Amino acid sequence: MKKYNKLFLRKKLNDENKMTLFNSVSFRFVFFVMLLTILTGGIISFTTINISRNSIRQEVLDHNHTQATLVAEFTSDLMEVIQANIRSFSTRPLIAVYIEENDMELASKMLRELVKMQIVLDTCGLYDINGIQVASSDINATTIGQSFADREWFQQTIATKQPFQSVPIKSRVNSNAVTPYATPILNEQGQPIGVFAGAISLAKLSEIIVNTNNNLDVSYSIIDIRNGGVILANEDSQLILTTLSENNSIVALLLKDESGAIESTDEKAVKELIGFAPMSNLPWGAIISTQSKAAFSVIDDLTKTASIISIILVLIAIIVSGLFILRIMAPIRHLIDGTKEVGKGNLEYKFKITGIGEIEQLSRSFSDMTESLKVVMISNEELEQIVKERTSQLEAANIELESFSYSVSHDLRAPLRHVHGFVEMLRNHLQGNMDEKSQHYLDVISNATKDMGQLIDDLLSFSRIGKSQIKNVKVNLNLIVRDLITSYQSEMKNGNVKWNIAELPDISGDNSMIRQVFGNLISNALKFTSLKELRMIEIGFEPDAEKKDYVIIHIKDNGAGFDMQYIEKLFGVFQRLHSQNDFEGTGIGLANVKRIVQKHGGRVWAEGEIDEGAAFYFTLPKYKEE
Amino acid sequence: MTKLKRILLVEDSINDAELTLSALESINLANKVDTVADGALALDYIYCRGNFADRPRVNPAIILLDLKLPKVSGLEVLKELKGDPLLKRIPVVILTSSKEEKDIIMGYDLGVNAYVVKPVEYSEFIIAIKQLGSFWAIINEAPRD
Repeated sequence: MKKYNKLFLRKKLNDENKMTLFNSVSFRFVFFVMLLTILTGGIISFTTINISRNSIRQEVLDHNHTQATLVAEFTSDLMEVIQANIRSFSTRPLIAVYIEENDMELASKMLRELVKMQIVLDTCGLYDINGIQVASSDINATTIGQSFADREWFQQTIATKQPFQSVPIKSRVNSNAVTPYATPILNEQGQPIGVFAGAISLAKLSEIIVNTNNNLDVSYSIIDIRNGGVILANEDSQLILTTLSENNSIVALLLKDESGAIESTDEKAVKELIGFAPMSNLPWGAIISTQSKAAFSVIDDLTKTASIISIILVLIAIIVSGLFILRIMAPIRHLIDGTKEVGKGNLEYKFKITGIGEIEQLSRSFSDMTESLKVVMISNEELEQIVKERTSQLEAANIELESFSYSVSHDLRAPLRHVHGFVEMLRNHLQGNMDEKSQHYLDVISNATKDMGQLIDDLLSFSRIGKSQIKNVKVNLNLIVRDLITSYQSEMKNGNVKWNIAELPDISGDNSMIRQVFGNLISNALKFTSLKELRMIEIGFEPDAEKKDYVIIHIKDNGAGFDMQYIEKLFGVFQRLHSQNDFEGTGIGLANVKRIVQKHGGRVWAEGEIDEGAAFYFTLPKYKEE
Repeated sequence: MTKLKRILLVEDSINDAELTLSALESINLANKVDTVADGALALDYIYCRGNFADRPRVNPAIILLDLKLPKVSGLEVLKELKGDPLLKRIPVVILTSSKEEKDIIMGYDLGVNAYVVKPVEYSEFIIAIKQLGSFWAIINEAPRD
């Protein structure tokens, strides 16, 4: 393990990328299963419950409708019998006689017998043509002799000479809730001589009708649909004689003689399923209502049970899927641990190759990969060693080169100085005693040492450029160009040069090096135009199409130019395209220019034609405001 | 008239020494010039020890010091002199062929009084030495011992 460690030290291990519960595959899988079960279970349950609910609603509505129809028929028939009974009683000849003869004792006795026989009747009474009660089935009646002429049933019966079923009222005789049925008593000429009225007890009516209902969740009502619907019969005696406050729509439908079933909400916001049916021979209707809550109690219970079962199923699904995924993940986890170990550099790690199908394959491939990596690592290590050796060799060579250039600077110059010095001393010494030839020889020696001195200086400056680091600052080219031209003009008296200098952009680079580039190129231009009558030097710039953040600068002259055939040699060290006799120079200038420009990441090139002129181009990085 | 102080030239090259001496002669300096050929001898001379044990204990008026010297280098000699409170006021001029920036910087950091690069051109060399000699031996006022 140690062997590879340092190789891995360089790369930062991705340990911050720790696994959390929420991004683990296991969690996501279990979560997915959970979501799936809940979703499918939920949708199925919801649909089933909804369908059941709808069918139950329809069933209850249908049932209540049928029931209402049955109750209406039953009530209708019942009332038919009672009314027939009362009518037949009123047509007994004796009744007319009793009224005419005012024999109230016998009449009362007959009335009592009728009430005894017809149990639905609460009381009954006889009334003369003026509405005065003349007899009552109630022995304790205090109403005998009182007028009932204000009663609707009395007025209707006398006016129409037809029997009349009254709206329900409170009996004036005994305060019971009743619905009187009145029939006229006619004489032989068919003229009314009085009225016989039977008060049908609503309590008893309720008893009979409610008896047919044995379902607690269902409420049976008989209503009189006149006056907005007054309850005639209900299992709750409190409701009798009260007006229906809701279900006006039902009363309206009953008034139109329609039957049916609707879902409705009462004033307590209780939902009810209501069936209703009118009666053929009476202004009455039967209403059967079931509270929705009761109707749906079964389905609600079922929903509760289903929910509990669903939760249990979801839990089971989670547990099962959890166990399943853990079983699958175990070898993967092992693989992860293994890859981490390998990542840390432990290439000796042994993978346990277990798991199903793809996972086993993955383990195997990874194990193989580790093996291959080991081989690569070893060769890498060897390479590293080689690089290290080469680097130290190179460093040594560099140091050697540096001390070499120091030696050149110091030691080569000394003998040169001596040669030159002693030649001069000799010249002084021989003053006057020298022939022309000796003079010439001494001149040659003297000039040669001067040239050699220049060569040494140039070589040193060239190697210095190679070694030195660039200090990147904002460089004002206009300032440099102006300074250089001024200094050359005073030095070389080049008054007849026609300068054409553009306003140059600021560039980013090493100020003294850039100055050297311009110095070399401008002095070259001056040098090579020195034989021309009209000397022209142009300095300008243009954008660099190749590198957007660079700018191309050019210096053109109309001087001696050069042969493009030798362009390759132009920028070489100590390469000259002109003879020393024509133009002075060691041939280091352009080599320095090239080196400096390249150190700034730029390129340099030239165009020329013999005796027509030369153009030098170089690129430098534009200065960018930070 | 007090005895004039001497000038010490530390130069390993006989040729250079001869050239320098000839230049100094040409300005007719009254000061005598002593020449030593390496750094160790230079220190012996200054401290009046070894071969120079009998030398009168008078500091030289100026030391002309080459950098590249056998045994003890010019910079080491300079360091020793400028580190000694009794000797640090002696004017020291480095007279060398080296234009190396690091030598110049090192020299000034150690407290050299002037740094002169020997010109290759003889006439320039003569001019430099003449100026150097007249400046340090005549114009410049050094503290008295």
